Amino acid sequence: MTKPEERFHTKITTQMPDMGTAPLPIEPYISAEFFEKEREKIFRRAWLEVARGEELPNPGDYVVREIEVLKTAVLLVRGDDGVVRGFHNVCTHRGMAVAICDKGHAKGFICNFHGWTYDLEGRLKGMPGEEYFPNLDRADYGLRPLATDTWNGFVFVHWEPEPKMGLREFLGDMATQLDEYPFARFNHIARYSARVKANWKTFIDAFHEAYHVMMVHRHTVPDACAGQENPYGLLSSARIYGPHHSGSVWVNPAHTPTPSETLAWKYGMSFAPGDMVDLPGLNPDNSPNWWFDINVFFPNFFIDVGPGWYFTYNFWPVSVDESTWEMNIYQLDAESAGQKFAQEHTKVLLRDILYEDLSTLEFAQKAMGSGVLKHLPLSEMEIAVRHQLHTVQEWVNRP
Amino acid sequence: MSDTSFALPEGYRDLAWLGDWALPTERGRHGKRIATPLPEIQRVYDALLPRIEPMIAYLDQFPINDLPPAEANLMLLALVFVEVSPSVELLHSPTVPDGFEPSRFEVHF
Ligand code: FES
Ligand SMILES: [Fe+2]
Repeated sequence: MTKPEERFHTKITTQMPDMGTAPLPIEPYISAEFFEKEREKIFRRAWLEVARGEELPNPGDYVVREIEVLKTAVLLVRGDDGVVRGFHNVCTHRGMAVAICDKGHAKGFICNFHGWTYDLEGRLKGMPGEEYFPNLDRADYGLRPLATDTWNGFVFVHWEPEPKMGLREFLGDMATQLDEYPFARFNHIARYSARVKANWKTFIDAFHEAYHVMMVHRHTVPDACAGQENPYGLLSSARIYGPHHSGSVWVNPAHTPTPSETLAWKYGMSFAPGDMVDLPGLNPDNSPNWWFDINVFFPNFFIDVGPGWYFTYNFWPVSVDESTWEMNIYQLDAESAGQKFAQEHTKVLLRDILYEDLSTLEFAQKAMGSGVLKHLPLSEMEIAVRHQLHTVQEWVNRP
Repeated sequence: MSDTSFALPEGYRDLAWLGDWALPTERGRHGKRIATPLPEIQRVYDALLPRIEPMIAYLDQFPINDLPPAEANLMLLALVFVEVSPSVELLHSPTVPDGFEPSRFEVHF
């Protein structure tokens, strides 16, 4: 079929890596052996987003994150010096967890097995019966650290205590695009999660193209980013930053708002297409018909930014065909009843949209696992899917 | 089935029958929506739609983070309207048609 005469094309504004045009292989989505390589070569070698700094505002505040793909739980704790540090939540005596709640406030940690104690910086401070450990130097038995660093309030950890590349260098121009976005001014308004029988890439791939919107979102926002002018929901622009990428979603100016959308936009900002709220870091290519940006941080973290709201996704592999997903939504502080109403509209509409997004994953995973499909044919509209797998293969094939 | 224990400001007491919906969290309101048949959801929507603008104008006289009890209940009814609106305006169903299984989708608060 020849392409229709288009008034519209995705503008790709950065250097494109050579990624070929062939259909994608199935094996990386279903092979347990490939998954083990991803664990070693990707998840143990990349900076991984695990928290917002606001979750632990004061010295002594801590949170624990179970990271199944790393086969560990990470204890993040803010020290008396204000620095957030990450440790394996593992007592160095015989492996009991040192923090047993998901979050809390502590002066230090006492292991519930034999009572070893650690301070907020992970140093081993006390051991009952120390005289019975004749050859043990306490300095060797602090909590085992992960490298931990913060960018714009997002806390990342790295499996290697001393990674070859620092966080800012790893994030590169993806971070530069969002350096000025005022994340700290936003309130956390919602958290959703699910556990799905699908490979982590199958999962992610359902979220960084807009080709699916007209169909998958036919009940919620079918006319929001596709319409006469742009029938298949092509992105207005896209950027590739090393392993990361960013796409701007086109908005259909002919979108018909519902009564509740109209009310929400009367009082504040909604996820439903509406007015522009000018914030630095949005709409990097100044598209006249701009809805929001999908910003994908390799390997498994999204920050989608819009006018007055942003939301994040963390996709965590569990096994080759199982993953967990968490979504957090943030919106500019509500100072009035009307703004509170608009905040509610953002999250309720997004939540119902997400029910749709999650609906295809297990079917697609099953089909790949069955051997019925031999490869996946991809359109130019699904460039982010191609880039994600291209990067995965590059990392997995590294020495 | 009007519920007199559900306090509302004067001018809004006719909405007291919506007391069962005025749950304090999105998790609760969403759970209520997906367990309610569409005609009942439609009745809630129809009762609230024409009241939202005056409600918000009235509530805006109070500090949003320190609403008195009756006003706090009224604010919850505005949020109930938001919760039921997709069912009526878009989905024509309590749940998302062809969507992911609600019991597996966790709404945390
Ligand atoms: S395992 Fe922690 S003190 Fe023994
Ligand atoms: Fe989607």
